[in-house]
Amino acid sequence: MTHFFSKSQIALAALAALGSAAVIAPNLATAAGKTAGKYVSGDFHNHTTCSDGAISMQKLVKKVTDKTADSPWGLDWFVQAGHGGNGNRNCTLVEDASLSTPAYPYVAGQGPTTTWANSIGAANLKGNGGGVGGNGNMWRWQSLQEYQYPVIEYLAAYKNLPLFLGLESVVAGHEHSSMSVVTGQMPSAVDNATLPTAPGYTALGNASALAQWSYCFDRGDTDQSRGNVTGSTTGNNWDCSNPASADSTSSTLGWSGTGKKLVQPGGAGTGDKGHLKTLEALKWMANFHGQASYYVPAHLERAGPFNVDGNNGFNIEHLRNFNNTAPNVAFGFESQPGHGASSNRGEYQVKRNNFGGTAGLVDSVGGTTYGGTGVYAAQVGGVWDALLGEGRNWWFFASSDWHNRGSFGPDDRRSTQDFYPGEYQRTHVMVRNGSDKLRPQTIVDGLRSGNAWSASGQLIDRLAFVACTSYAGPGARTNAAVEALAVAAATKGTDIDAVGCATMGEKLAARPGAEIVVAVVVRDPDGTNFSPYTFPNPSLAQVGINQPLNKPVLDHVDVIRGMVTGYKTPGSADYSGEWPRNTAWLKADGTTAGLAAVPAGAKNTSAAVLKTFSGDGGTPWTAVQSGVDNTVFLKMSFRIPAVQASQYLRLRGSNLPAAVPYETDASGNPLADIYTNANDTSMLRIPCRTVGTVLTGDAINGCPAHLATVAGQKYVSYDVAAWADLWFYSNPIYVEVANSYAVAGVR
Amino acid sequence: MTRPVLPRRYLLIALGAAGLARPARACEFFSSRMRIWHPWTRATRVDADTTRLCMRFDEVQASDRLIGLQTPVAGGARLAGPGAPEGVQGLSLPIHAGQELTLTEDGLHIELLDLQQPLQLGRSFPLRLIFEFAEPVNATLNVDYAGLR
Repeated sequence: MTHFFSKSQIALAALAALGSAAVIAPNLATAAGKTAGKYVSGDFHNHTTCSDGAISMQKLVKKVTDKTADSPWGLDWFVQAGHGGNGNRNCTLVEDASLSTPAYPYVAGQGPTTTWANSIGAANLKGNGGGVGGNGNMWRWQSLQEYQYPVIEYLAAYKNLPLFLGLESVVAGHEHSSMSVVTGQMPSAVDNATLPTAPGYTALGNASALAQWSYCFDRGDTDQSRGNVTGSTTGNNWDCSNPASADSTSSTLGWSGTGKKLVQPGGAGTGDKGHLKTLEALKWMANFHGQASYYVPAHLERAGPFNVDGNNGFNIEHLRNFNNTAPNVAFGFESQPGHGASSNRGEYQVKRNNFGGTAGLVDSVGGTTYGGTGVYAAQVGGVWDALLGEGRNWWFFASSDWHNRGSFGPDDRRSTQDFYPGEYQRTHVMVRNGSDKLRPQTIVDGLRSGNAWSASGQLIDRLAFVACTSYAGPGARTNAAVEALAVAAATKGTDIDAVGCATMGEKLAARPGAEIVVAVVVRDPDGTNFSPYTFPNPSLAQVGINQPLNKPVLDHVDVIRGMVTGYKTPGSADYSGEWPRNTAWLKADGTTAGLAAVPAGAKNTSAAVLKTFSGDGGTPWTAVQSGVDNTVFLKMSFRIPAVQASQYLRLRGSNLPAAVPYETDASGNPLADIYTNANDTSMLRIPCRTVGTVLTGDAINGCPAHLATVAGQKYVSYDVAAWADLWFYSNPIYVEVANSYAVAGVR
Repeated sequence: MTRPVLPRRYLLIALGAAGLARPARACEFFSSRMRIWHPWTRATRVDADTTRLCMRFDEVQASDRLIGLQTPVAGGARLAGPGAPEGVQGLSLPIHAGQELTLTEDGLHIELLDLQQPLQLGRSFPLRLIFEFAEPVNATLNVDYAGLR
């Protein structure tokens, strides 16, 4: 019998989840002394050939963490992911001898596209469909547990790098989420491991918890073997039930006594049923690995809005449900997707998704990205501001979603598809590891804290964002004093620790009538970024600015403020809201309908740009030389007078001023990237005119041959479009005013 | 014309390759009538003129016919393998509502003709699929496996 879930049933489930939500970890700004930490850059969404990527684990780790001329963008930490489900290629085999290690040497005649069957042998494939005569695929749970984890642990020890495994989960009821469970991974014994000098490595830790999650909850994992040898009861014998949730074994949700898991829903109501299964996945994480896991919806606008009868995108109510269910686990989104060099930035596209029936083809939400960011975060007053306006711990992250270079090889600096992790987008997270090395747990703690910011194109590489209270009399603070705190933090790559002050992911307690002193310090690094293009930015050339693509200059910093009015109630009219579809949002000419078209549940109309700083505008920043390394930082500050209501502040910045044709509007907001997406050449608008003499390598001085060309004219597209259009986004600082709304998501 | 019998080793390798996982990124493309899943091929030798293109058509809500394709890496295409019409140039591939159609290396597939460049492992290229009824779909061709020895 087909069972449909009404909206009220789903809302009730979410309400029940709210009542059982895990305690939010403290996130205090006190003078008792925060554990020392630094902002460190990393990536948690990327692929190898075990998934649908193009290179081995070893090559990817090397490309991502090296800091050499070939790949200068080395990250500080790295989570090797890959999609859930299964795969038939062995990503633990390296491409050539240059990637050999004692434990994993190059095997002549084999490489990362060699199948599991042709390398380890079909007999070693487990689960349903495994074994000799099976389908040749290895379930992701097995590859994580038995093959990929030993490699990543070995590399972490061999190279002394903070590495661990994650997953790009194929989500029941939705599209994808970046997640991990770090329990068992990288135990401290790895620090002193004696590494083998011959092939083979036995891991000291394990990724069994992550593997079990993959088996239990990934929509691509339809195995019902319980993680066992094919046709046997030998192996993991996983049971996916959760004593903390009666619905974890619900027959209505598809509990299988054979597989001891919730079976993938199908048919009518797939989306609703899948969403409820995903909530069970979060409850499992919260119950068993509440501090050791994260769950971050990825490119969440790409597959369109939510589809009741399919597995498509996420509406705001689903994000609220996630955060209500497991606030220590589901604490943000990747609204800045990877695939930055693709013919459609982010692979967001008009009419990308087929919802079937009368709905037909449906755009990615927003139609395209906006300056490389999805509409949920890029639109001031949109979904992200709606969530922040409730006072939620809901943070913004960026990722590479690395798969390949498109038409170019993996060592080329050009791309028509993806950037390497760290090459273009970098997420900088405050990790409080004290004197210890970076470890998975402290990295996850950092992500959860929300003390993080992301930048594309190395537009900035340091940020201190501080808000302090000031009261008349002894409690008064000057702008200079708060700026000094921020300068000290930024120049040391750390954050502030002062009574009466807060930074990203924190909340500042204020009495009514307080002044809030806000200071921002950034470093726009000297020299070149990682762009291989040296010719003038064609987007900026439209407004007479001559700026090499590999030497971007920060144009301005916006401070965006929104008011906090408390959590929405599940089931209420303003708890839900689907972003307008197709031309109801993105019109054929590339303009958008505006917030008036967005339902109340999906917007926060109080959010607006409060202040803009620039080098020569009405509110200029001031250059200051670092006392640590003599590099130049930019400092800026302002005061918010007499606060009466709880609110939040967040930052964004760009190399593009306002009113750059086809890039930014008159207020400096990013326009739809449809004008630089090569997928529809009829919409390309920004010509690339520089004729170069060096068209390969890392110093390409003219418009490259791979740009989209119309009637003989090259247009800004692919990777050039990304390098031309740079943004940074910070996470918010909350201000909780006594007697106003509580910022309940942050303690 | 008698079709050549494929060597057993080739069939075994193809069997493994045909079970390619369900990739999670935009290896799925949609027309208004169906989903097109993960177009892929193998790396080719420098002097290769042709290669086999595989993909799956599913979630077919209404029947259609693939009647052409455009890609910068090949000058033409035709159906090949078991079930391909004899002596017919070009493409005419019916895809029926409610059914899945998987093009495989050892079964019915599309043969890309007049390769414009060697297809190197790990790369991806534009692939525009032309249908009789639905609008064209801009997909991606992935070079997923090493060439057969």
